[in-house]
Amino acid sequence: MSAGDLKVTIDDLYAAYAEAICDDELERWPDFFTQECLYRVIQRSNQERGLLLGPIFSENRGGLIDRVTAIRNALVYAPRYLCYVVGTIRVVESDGATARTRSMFSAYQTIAGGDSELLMVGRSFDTVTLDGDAPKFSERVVVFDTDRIPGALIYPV
Amino acid sequence: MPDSLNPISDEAKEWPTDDASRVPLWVYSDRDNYQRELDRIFYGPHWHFVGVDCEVEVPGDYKRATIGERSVVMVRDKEGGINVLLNSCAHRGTEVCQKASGNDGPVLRCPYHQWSYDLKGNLQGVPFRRGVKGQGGFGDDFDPAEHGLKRLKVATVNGAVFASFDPAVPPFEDYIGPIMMRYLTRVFSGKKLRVLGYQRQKLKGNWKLYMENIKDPYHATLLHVFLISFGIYRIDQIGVTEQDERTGAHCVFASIRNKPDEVTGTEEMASFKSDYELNDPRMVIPVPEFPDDISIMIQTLFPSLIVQQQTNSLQLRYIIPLGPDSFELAWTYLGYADDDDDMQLRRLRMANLSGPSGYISVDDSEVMEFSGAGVRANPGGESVLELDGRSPWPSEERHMVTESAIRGFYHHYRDVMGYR
Repeated sequence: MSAGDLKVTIDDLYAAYAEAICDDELERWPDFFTQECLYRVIQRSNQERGLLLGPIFSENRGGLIDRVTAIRNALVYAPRYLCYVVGTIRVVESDGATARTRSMFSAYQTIAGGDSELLMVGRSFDTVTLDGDAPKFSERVVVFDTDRIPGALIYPV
Repeated sequence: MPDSLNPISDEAKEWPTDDASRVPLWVYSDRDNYQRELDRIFYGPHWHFVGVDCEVEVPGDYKRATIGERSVVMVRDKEGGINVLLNSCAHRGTEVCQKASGNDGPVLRCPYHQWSYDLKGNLQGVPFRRGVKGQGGFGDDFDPAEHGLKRLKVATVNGAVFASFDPAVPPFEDYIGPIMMRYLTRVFSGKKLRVLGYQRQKLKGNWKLYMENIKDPYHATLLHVFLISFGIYRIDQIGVTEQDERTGAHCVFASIRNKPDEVTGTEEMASFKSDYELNDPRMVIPVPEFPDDISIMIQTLFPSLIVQQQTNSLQLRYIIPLGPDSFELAWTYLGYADDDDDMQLRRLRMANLSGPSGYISVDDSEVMEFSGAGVRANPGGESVLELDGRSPWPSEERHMVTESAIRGFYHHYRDVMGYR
């Protein structure tokens, strides 16, 4: 794959990922990951201190499916939309089989019938597997600057 | 001056009942009441959690914390002691430390005019104290000893650090009492602690609503579908309610995990779903760690600290009021310094249950906002607390089908606030 084709492939992956969240089609979200994967959402303040704890941590796609099941069936929360805006996507390096990528994002939350508010801003540091039918995240670490989250972080980012 | 649209005037601020089985809803929104809480509770003779001693390991290490609305700094001094200082320069009131934590050497220096303080808060240096080329300077009667950072009273319990603005605060052990000490020292056992991370949330509700939520086993079995489905907690499981026998305001619920085939009492729980299975159940698989069988221990210390052991997840929640209508929930996740990699990973997995995305705690933080909206609009209303009677004390069996811990909180609150 040429560098240009890879750039288009990665951009499309991030766009489709954001659309699954914004379209409220969370059932599709785990499919953006390989079976064995790492997904971590973590405060920048924790990460910079060398701490690993964050709001969401999953070590395989099953854990992501569990989160969607909980969001749909178990958690009690006010209905909402998440607008996940991703940009400045870049392939940091690639060996053809995998690509290390990063992105910047902002996520806005709109509680049904209410105002839109900024939920968080941050960056992601990811690894994409390119050898299957479709590119998938084998690692996605979402590092957010917003130390104090307004309300709760229900939907994934 | 009373708001004409608010039916509650100052004169009308009376408790609706002789007991704590009713709570007037103005306690959650009234601004004068909130100011009274700051003065009497947060700046009064009560102990407030500021941090864990491992956060300030070596001399000069500091960490900011908040008591009420005031920023304070927990700092380790040269002699190894821990001091808690008001983060407000004695010169012009400026916050001296801006970073959440750090170490700037042997002094704390205000960035504005560079007044510097030693690690006990004593004023060490004042630029241009003698003036410049004979001009200006401070008068001969300026005594640096009178201009230190305000120093709070400090108590530590096996690494947990508490502080109080009021020098007349009772000794910490007397403040929480022997029953509460016994449970507090399960987690703070003397083993060296390690911080695994922090989480912070801002919620639109009154700070007391959160303390009530934690003192309320009634909701736990009804609201938390996730918790119920996996037998992590159910109201029919073996558990005890413990309250401080003097105030009623400090409380512990301790329970032992159900066996999966015990499903009694679930027919009245509309949200019970037994068909729910996890693809990755590791976050709910504990290993024994404590010398007893308690799988969940949740302790509330008046006014605003929550200590929780949820199998192998150890968390502190500290509530910071942000006016009557909003509060910050500040989580500190703990482990022990000698945890092996497996235990640390287990604690990180279990952290999925709590915090701003927690499978259990999301329900609570959302309900806080529903409660906040409901009580703000109805200050003339009252809440009804009659599950298991009207007494602020636990039943003889100390069972958990009760609202006695919330009544205990308000029994004490009324005393402290002078509402009789």
